[in-house]
Amino acid sequence: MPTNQEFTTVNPADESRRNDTLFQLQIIDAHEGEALKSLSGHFKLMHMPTRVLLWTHPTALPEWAFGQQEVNGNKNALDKTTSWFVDDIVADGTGHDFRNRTVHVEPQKAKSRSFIKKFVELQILMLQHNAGLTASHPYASDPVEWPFCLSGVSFWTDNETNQQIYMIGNLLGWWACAIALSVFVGIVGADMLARRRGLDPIEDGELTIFRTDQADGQASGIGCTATRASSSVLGPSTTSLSTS
Amino acid sequence: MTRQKFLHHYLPAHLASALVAGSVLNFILVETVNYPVSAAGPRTRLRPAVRAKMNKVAWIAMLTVLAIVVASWLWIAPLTYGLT
Repeated sequence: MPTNQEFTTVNPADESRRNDTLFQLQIIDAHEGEALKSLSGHFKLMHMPTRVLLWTHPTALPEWAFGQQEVNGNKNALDKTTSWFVDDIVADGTGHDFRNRTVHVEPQKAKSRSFIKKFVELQILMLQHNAGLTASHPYASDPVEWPFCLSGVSFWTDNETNQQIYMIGNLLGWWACAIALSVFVGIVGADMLARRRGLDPIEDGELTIFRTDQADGQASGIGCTATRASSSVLGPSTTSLSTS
Repeated sequence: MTRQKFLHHYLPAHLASALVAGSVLNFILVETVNYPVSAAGPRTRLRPAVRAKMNKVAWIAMLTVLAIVVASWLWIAPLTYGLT
């Protein structure tokens, strides 16, 4: 919750309001004694006398305010927008440069990552992004509705002429597919159940091939059974090959 | 957890489901297979290629399903493709 408290800068030589210039640095997710890192180390700045966190708007002020950043206070310590990080280290003009930190440093080369790592990262990002979606849509639908094509996509509308392009699947085709899928699940489920009980309603891998390229024109069959040679009933006049 | 639907969300899944539907129909209607699928060319390595052996009931059922799907498509096509 933003407050009306604003922050400003003071002359460092002015010691009259020293207490009002005190801030507590809270490094986020840091253990005891951990050093603050620029860029990757996020922190909060709490104003000691008022217990208010330094906070700013995501966007700068408009041009008539010289594009400056308005810095306010925020009382909500859990608000993520109160996090700051060190983007650049600049010389303060006193000539005191601890460990030569203000010199220009060439940025490090981006490390290459393996495909798997990129893939995993992308999946995580997509999950996080999708989990954060809250806006509703008039044509939004539940995943349960998708296999049955219960809603379509409003692709284009023209209010003046009352025209609309409404993308919808081939309804009977979708329903035929949905029925076929449930039949498939039923068949496989029943077959697995029967197999647990020692029954074999669907024969294993039995394939009968008739050849018509015989010289006498008579069809002969070649059959192969994957499991049991004894149960193979094959073509009209057959030789049976067991490949078990 | 409702979502705005896009074509790429459901079209691949629908195509896979259509393939399963074809297999299920094949399992129900077709007893056995015969024939090479196509005429062998001079350089074709002959393998035991197979074709579904369909009886009259299977043909009627297949053609009925196809006719229903095509008719349903023709019925919805003007709305989906913006034909006036």
